[in-house]
Amino acid sequence: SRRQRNPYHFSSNRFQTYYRNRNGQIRVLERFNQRTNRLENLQNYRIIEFQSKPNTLILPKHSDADFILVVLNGRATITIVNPDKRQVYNLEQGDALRLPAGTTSYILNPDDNQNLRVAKLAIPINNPGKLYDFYPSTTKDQQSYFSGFSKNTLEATFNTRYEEIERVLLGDDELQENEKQRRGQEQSHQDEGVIVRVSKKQI
Amino acid sequence: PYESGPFNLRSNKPIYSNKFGNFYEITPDRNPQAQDLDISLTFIEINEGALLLPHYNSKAIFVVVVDEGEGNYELVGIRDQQRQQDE
Repeated sequence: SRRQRNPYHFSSNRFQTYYRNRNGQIRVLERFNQRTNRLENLQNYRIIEFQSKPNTLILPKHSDADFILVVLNGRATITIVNPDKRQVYNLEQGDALRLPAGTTSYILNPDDNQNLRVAKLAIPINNPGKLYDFYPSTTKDQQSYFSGFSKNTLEATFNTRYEEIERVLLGDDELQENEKQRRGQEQSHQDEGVIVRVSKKQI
Repeated sequence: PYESGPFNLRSNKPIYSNKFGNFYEITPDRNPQAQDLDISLTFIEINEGALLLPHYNSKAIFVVVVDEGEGNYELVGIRDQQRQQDE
């Protein structure tokens, strides 16, 4: 169709699912300069959209990109964690928030019924048009960035035996399994991935 | 007014300092010349056997030059995933 050939028209199938589980999904629009060099001046901007179900949380992370996010639908509780303080914002439809590069944050959908839909403009700081998410936690879908460090470094850093660090932070599968059985839990957050269900009490 | 002339990285108190080392830094907001270039200058002393704890810089890209001594450096990145494969 004519629309398909229009390089300025990005239909919703131009999004690529970056992450999806039963609690929500994160999608990234293709690079603006991929289809036409007439949009080359937009090469360092990316559009990200995410949706999350009621009473779910997107786990803490930071990215090597500046963000401006806009709540398209629903309600969001966004917590920004800095080295010395923590700020919590309750956002509604139409609210916008700048998330500086490298700040750790997590996003909760506190609503009982309504899905949350957010659009983000990303401005990467290291590589033009490319950004990465860094999660301190381990789930079935990604490893904690702490797992990148050597055993010696982790032991010296946390002043703790590696087995303990592994159990608490790095989520070694076998150990976690034993832990779960010990506590009689049916499912841990680790099994869910990076968008997890949270209880009313936790909200 | 544009300020020029030399300045010393260790003229101010270190930002972090303990018996294992010192971390001096001149940031753009404290020096017009650094502000002009939008750079920070850092001078780090680490005693033998000490570890500068794991950390990251929010937005700064660091170029590290070893002036004296030797050390081990560990850097953690994210493996290129699906997102990059399709590009």
